[in-house]
Amino acid sequence: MHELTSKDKIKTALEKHSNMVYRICFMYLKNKEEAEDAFQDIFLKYILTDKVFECEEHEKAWLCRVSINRCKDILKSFRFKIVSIDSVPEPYYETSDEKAVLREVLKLPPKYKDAIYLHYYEGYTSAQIAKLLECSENTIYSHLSRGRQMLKERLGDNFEY
Amino acid sequence: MIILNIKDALDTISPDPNLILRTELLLMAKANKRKVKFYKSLAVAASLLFIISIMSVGGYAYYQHPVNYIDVDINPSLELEVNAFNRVIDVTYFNSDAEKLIESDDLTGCKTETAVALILQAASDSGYIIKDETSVVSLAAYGRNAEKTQDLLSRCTNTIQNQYCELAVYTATVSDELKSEAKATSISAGKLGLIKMIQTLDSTATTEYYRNKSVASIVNQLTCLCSEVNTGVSEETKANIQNRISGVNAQIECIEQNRRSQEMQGAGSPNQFNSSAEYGDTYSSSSVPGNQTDSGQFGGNADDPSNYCQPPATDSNNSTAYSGGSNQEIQSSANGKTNTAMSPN
Repeated sequence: MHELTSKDKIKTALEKHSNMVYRICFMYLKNKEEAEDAFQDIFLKYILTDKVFECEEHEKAWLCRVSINRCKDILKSFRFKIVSIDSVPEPYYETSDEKAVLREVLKLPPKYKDAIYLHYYEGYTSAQIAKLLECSENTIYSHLSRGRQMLKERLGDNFEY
Repeated sequence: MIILNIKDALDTISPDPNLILRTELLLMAKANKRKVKFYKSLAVAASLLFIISIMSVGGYAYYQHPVNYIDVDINPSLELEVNAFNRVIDVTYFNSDAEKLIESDDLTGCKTETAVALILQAASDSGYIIKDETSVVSLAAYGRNAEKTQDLLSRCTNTIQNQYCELAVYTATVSDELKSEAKATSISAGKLGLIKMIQTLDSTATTEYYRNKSVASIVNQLTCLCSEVNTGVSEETKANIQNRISGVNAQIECIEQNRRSQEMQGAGSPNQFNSSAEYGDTYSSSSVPGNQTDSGQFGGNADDPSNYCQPPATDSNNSTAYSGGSNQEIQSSANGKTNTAMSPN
């Protein structure tokens, strides 16, 4: 039982969720090294947890929630605050069209960024996002609307969701 | 016009394959450490469980192991098995009177003194101990540790004497041989010891005949046999046996004397009566005048009751020890010393 949950569980979890976890980390921390540290912390927590997941979606939602919380903790930490976020190099801020969209997404306030990412990339519904982020569905609607509006203003008419 | 969308933009963010590999190795190492820790905890828990189990089983076995046996005989005859914690762990009934007297469940788990008190209470309720008649109870103790056995016997005797002033108590310690023989013949060792004394004096007496006789009648019979002349039994043997029963005879005489005094005075003195109940078969024959007489049912001198009511100087270390049926084997242990009873002649 324990043998199964060590080797196989690690491989499966990394295959399925590494992209999502890394994306959340990078979107919050906007820094490759910090994102990688957070990525390892999150999977370490995953392997040490005694939580029993009911299904794959449950597991994914748990990882999503833990990733967001971990990134918020890092952003609040003393170590992170003493280095200005503006001084951190931004390797992805390039001039290509995808990078321009990404740049604007990353510049969104975290609450809009979470809603936009989870809805447009991960495909969660507003109700699911509300449950995941522990807020009301109306709030998620509002965040999605404002996030879209901000992106539209910055990227112009040749932008679609 | 280039159409931009969020999904395409976010697709550009992906973890380095090296990061995934490093993370996988890190997690494997952590998982292994956790596994080792888990097995260590499991081993410690298993060891603790094993130790607790051993201690529990050992403790239970120790609790259930009898170290002393107390035979209580009035006419109901039963044996209490007592563990090292002075708790009754089992009860053996030797006759139907005892079976009807008290349930073993009522005695199991009780302190020995409490169990003896409960037995006597039940005997009193069932009419085996009658207030206006002198009853005799025999307490015989068997155990490997003579000192502890004697101590237990003394405590039980004191319990009886504190509660039943009209009850004469005959106490004895039992030898290994007598215990084995009693077990083989399904009779209490205390009663068998008394029967063996009768058989010493009367070769025609059988164990079966006396098996269901009360202790009072057996003591009475012993007294009569001791007083008989020309029976072919040596005076030394008689004196030896008389010495053994002198204590209980003294108690009986004292109780009866007190009762007569109460009857004559209309109301007796309870203090005097109670003091007489402190006697047991634990006095040297010289302290009991009744020992020197051949007349009377219990061998006492009724003309001088004050002689019988003297409290004993030492009573807890003095008891009868049976080791078999022969005259030579019946010995008296007084104050820790072994004495051979002398012939009156």
